[in-house]
Amino acid sequence: MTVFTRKQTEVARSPWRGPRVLRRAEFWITGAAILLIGYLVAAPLIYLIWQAFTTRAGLTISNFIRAFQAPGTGEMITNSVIFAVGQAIMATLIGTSLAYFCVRTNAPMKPLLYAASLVPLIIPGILFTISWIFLLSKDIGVINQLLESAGLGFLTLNIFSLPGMILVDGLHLSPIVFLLMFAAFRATDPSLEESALMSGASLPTVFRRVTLPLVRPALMGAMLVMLVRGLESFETPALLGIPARKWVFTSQIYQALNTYPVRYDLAGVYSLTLLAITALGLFYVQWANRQSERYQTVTGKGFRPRPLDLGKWRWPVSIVFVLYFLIVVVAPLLILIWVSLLPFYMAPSFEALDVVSLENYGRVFNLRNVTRSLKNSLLLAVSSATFLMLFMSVVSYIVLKTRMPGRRLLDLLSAFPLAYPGLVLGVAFIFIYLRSPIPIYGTLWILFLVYITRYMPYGMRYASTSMSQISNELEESAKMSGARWSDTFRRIILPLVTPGLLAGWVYVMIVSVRELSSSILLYRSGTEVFSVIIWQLWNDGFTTVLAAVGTMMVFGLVIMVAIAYKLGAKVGVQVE
Amino acid sequence: MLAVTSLTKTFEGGKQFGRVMAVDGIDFTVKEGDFFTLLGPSGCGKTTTLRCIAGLERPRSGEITISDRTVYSSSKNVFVQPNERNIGMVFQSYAIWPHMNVFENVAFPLKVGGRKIPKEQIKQRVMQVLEVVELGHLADRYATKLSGGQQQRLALARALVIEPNLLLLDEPLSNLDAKLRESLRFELKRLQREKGITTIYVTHDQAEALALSNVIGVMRTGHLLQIGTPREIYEEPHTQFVADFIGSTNFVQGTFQGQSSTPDTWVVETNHGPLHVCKTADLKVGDRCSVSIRPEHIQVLPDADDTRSANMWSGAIKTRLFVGEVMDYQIEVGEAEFRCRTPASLSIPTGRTVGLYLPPEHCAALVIDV
Repeated sequence: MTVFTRKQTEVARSPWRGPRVLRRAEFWITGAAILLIGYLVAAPLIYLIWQAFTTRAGLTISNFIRAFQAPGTGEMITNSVIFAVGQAIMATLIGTSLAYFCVRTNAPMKPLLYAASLVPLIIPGILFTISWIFLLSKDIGVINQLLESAGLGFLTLNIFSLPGMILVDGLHLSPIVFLLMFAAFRATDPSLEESALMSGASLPTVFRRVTLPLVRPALMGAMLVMLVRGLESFETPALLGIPARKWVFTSQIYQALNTYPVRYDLAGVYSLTLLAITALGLFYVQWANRQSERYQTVTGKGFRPRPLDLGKWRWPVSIVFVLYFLIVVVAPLLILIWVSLLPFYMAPSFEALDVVSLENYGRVFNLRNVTRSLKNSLLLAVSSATFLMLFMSVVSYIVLKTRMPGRRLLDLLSAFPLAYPGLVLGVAFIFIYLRSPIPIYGTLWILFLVYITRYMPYGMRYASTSMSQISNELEESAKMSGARWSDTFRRIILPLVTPGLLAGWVYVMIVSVRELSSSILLYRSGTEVFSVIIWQLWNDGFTTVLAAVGTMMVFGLVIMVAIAYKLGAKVGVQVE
Repeated sequence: MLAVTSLTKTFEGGKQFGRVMAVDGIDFTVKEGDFFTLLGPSGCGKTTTLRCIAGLERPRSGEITISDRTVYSSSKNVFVQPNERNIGMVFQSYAIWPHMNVFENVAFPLKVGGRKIPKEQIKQRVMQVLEVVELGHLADRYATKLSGGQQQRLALARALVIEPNLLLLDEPLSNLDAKLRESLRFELKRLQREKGITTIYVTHDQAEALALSNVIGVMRTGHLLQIGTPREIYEEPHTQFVADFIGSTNFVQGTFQGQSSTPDTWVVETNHGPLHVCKTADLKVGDRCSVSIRPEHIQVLPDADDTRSANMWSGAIKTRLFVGEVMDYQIEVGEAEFRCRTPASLSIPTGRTVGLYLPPEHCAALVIDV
């Protein structure tokens, strides 16, 4: 049975929601939530606009004129576009084709792709980039050396270049496209393709005329998200672009804040421009999604995609899977572990094996900064995750289960931080708390605030997903069984939302521990977090110690992702 | 046992629709031990009525009394919370709590609401009711691991365990496949009869309603059109809508002419000539009306020359379908088309002209309300 229905975006609300006292409390809680979220979300925007449009002389656009007339600005914009577009195309091509072969064909070795889909969560951008420097830097890069000795020197790539930046970021982000397109291919009915085949179309024609148009909205969405991610990306442009003098928006903002005298005006203008672009892009994605979801074909019977038989192409395709896994997961991790075992950087060789030791791991803990940053990171991750999940479960309850005025505003506000690039949020927080009477500049509190602002949308998504799972009939049947409000809350609602909230909690922990682009602007001596330490070690040339720190970090993240996975968090591919 | 008096319920339909009357002043009573079915198309207000009885919706006005206890009254400003009404309810989605096993789901009603029942007794009562629905062997299984039919029986067990005064069933069979639905229909009937529990059943499936109920109330757009036994509803519908909704039927439009020469017979003038009917709704001479006759009541006479009397028309066989025990004919009479159902032994080729006899005792002149 196929029916066209308007997508149900709202859960029907129950007419009765506990005692009157609670309803009054609900009103005040809603107000407080709107104020707090409103402050966290709007203050950065207001301060950015204020900073960009004023000088000591008053309201003016001279900041913009100065910023865009500064030498190299044109080139910077061109670089940003080339970099963003280039890595988006690369990530989309790789991710989409892998997803297609993974969902729609019978190629073996698919689990490798599922594992690789977790990379963006497990290997932080900064470690991924550094690993690739070890692999592809001009003189010391392992792959370059291999190519050289094989007489293929003309193939070597200097990673400190625009193509290098595109390659590294494109590879790092391709698993995200894989996940998005995996879901899209899963959701389209294969019988649409089969009926095209039966009409006499050849396989390539079917792909071009039926498959691609069906997933086009998802594909455009994925591409746009990648563009935005490319513009926001900080680690790769900073580590690879700055040495090559290939500036983009983010590295330029960072530079403006790290020169003497500090150029707040430049940082403000560039940040606001970048924010405008990313916000527009994301709103467009949202809008397009809503358009395509409005009238949806809902089929009563589930369908199992019937895999296409690749015949003799099964193994070549799976070799591509293996290669991808090696390039995206194994190579970066192996080189990181290898370097962590050395007293100084050497390419892998039998001679080098003689000096391998675990010494770096011991040295890590003698560096006072490292232990302190580990403590800071854990403290921040636990506190922001705990606060966010508790807060967002209240907010999602208001949004989904009550008729409070303002609940829609609350829903919108909590999604807004998605538009802030991390670096831009960092800049805004500098502007706010350099002037604000709230004395948190240079403390862990400012990092806490930045984390809960950035990860509010994720917390909200986890909380509202688990909240919306409780259909009203589950509560109503409890009531019909004679349960009082307190019984229903304690025995039905709480047990049902807890797993989802826990999964969200671990997820926010993971992303907080990896956070770099906001922290890098807001830390002071004493409030360094783990990823900042890696950044410092890299800049100070302690590559081997850095590799040890990075290896431990990856190891810790693997454990956390595994826990999140166990708790049913929607990370990576759900294989049933 | 249950009395519903001038019940109304409105919903806010948003800016476009303003206020929507979901239930528009309905009255009915249900006797102790009855199986009462509210039947109607989707959106007719039957589920809303059920939810008002449950206390899950607050009506706009009216009165609801269960076992001589007023649970809702707009004039006396009474509203008893659903958890204090002692009603068992089975939801359309079953609403099985996914974090509990079968036993815990059924035990839940005995543990909440400040009830202090000793553990042993809870166990005994739960197992007893699980045996009744034949789920005893699955007590430890997680509720989400059950099949559709098992979930349905679990929901029933959970509703029955508190020994409620009243059992409410909201389309409990609609999520099951046809075979299972039929076998659970018998199961449900047996349980209801054994327990003697007063039951209100909501469905849009007329076959289900006819098979299960003692009394059926047919609803449309918030109104109760007719209440009666299944036989009454089927054989003596009051309006065209009821006749059409219950079973399949043929309609002939015409003008009501009043009493005929024979006693207890009325005449309706139609395009195909006068038609004598033995049943009539409340009609005045000159009213437009609609005569209903069921396909199985039309007599198909292969010998077209037979001119017996009035109510005898001739038509041409357009299509015929062999559906097992019977033959389904579509017969053209003038511009109109009749569905007739005859024993399978009667086989007439298409295109043949046949006589149609419409026995007056099966013809009913009805109010046009469609």
